[in-house]
Amino acid sequence: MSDAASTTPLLVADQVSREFPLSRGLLAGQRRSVSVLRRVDLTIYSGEAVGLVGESGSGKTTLSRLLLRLDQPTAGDVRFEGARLAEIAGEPLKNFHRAVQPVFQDPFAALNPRMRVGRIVSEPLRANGDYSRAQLDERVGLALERVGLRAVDAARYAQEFSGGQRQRIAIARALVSSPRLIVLDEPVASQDVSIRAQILNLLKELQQEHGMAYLYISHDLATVRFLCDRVYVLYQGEIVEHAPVARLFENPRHPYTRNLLSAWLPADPLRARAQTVDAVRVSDTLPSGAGCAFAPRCPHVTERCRSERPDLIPNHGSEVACHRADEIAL
Amino acid sequence: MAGPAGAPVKRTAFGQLGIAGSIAAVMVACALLAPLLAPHDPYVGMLADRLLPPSWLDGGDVRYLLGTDILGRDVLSRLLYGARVSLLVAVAAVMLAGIVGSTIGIVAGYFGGWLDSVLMRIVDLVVSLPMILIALLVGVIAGPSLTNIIIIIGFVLWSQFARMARAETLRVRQLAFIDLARSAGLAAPRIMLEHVLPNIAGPLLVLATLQVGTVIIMEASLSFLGVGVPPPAPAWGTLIADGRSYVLSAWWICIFPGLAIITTVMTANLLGDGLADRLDPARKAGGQS
Repeated sequence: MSDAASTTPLLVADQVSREFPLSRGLLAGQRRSVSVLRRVDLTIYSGEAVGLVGESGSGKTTLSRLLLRLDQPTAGDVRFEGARLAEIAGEPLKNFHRAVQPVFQDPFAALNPRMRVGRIVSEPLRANGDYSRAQLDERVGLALERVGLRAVDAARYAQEFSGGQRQRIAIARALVSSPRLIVLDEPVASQDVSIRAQILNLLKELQQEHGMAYLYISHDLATVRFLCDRVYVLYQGEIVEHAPVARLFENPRHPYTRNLLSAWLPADPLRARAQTVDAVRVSDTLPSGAGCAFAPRCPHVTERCRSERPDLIPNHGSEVACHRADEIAL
Repeated sequence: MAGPAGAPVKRTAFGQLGIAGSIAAVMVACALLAPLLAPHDPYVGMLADRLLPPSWLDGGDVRYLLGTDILGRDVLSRLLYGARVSLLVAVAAVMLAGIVGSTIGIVAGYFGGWLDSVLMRIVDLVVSLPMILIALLVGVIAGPSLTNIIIIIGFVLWSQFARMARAETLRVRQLAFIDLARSAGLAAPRIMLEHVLPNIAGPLLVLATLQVGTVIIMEASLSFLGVGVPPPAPAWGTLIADGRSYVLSAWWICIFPGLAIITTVMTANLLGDGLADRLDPARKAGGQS
């Protein structure tokens, strides 16, 4: 879909950082903070499916919260159609809230147990405009039917549905305002494998039908490969590689991406790639700030890696943040 | 009040909620119909009939089912009229405290930060105030009246609602549907009203019913000190205070109001618990998932 993408980015993270202050002790002199995201660039164009992969704690969810305006970056900007998200208000803000919808991992916590499904699904409409009861009912009914539920389910409570059905309700809610981007934060991680396939097929169909963009956040590489056009790889708050999905899977450039791919088992064992075993334990891997974040775990580490932070630079059709991307043999 | 007992019962058996609702309905009916049910005037005593024991005991008189007090007034009649005063004070004070306290607690818990700190320090301050002293002060300045005692008790109790509402709000606020509502652009007051309040209403309702009992005891204490319900009105607390000196010789004067208080508090607790079950769709659905 990336070839159909327009030239104006829909949503952009521009050198975004997010630090969380640690509570200051009574005796501690200076204020300390944890840096969760460091100078992250991420661009989403209309109509494309962008993947964001990384291990637990890499900052995937923090980044998604910044993009959804649930949180503010400590440095850098998030821009929606060119306007700084922190500054928009009034009608443009309502437009943003209609245009960008999230689907979260846990469909049990995502649906208010005190609300009927119809009210849950219609919320993005009710919050941003005046709709008559009939208009709401109609759009809710259409959205529910689109995800494989019935319009009459709007009168029921979320408890009456299974996990897979609840995730469909959450997707119907995301669809109801005809969004331009849906942020999918691990939407199938809590589902059974069979349900997972159904939901992923549904997402793929919906995108082909409506042409909205996806930001698909996951640590499951198989689903990323199935759904996405481009992939960003996040490691400890930094983008280490960014590539078209086929490129990333065929020719990963960053040592961390290779580790990720070698940990992933393809369906066909004959196609399994050679294992590049993670030689270093995950202990003492918190980056000091200077140098490459991956240096403590990298088998190809040099002095330069420890002292100088690599920028994300183009490399054989990908973008890679690695000083030795060209030297490392495949 | 007859609502819960009269509502169609489908999944839940006519159990706790039905029993508690029935008792509550009877008590409210007694309070409302006191002028019709009471055999005697609660304010006028027959000095010839003073300190008569309940009718089923030796020396009892069939005209005075639960006996008479030191002025010869009928204990049953005073108990029935007392239900009006005590229930009115209890319900009004709890509603006042509940509305004010829950609002402050939800706002503090939802927004957090300095607002939370300021509001919760005010709560700490209110909790640390000696209630009886404040009540005496207000009572002396404003004079004892039904309105004043409701306001005084409401002022003391709202802090408990604020604390519980805040704690429950902190629990609910981290659930994903709050983030989803924010992502949809729903304004903070509507999130608090539509998402937070319905999900913390159960515990607050249980607290409110527990507080009904507390208020009745508080009102009795204040009435005893002379700053509560003005004396001729037969609040249950006043009745106990009246009978206090005769508890060994004429125990019926304070035992029956005491039993009325115990019954009210227990009924209120059962009712709150039953309502919490009924109002929670998760518990109502009962095991389908």
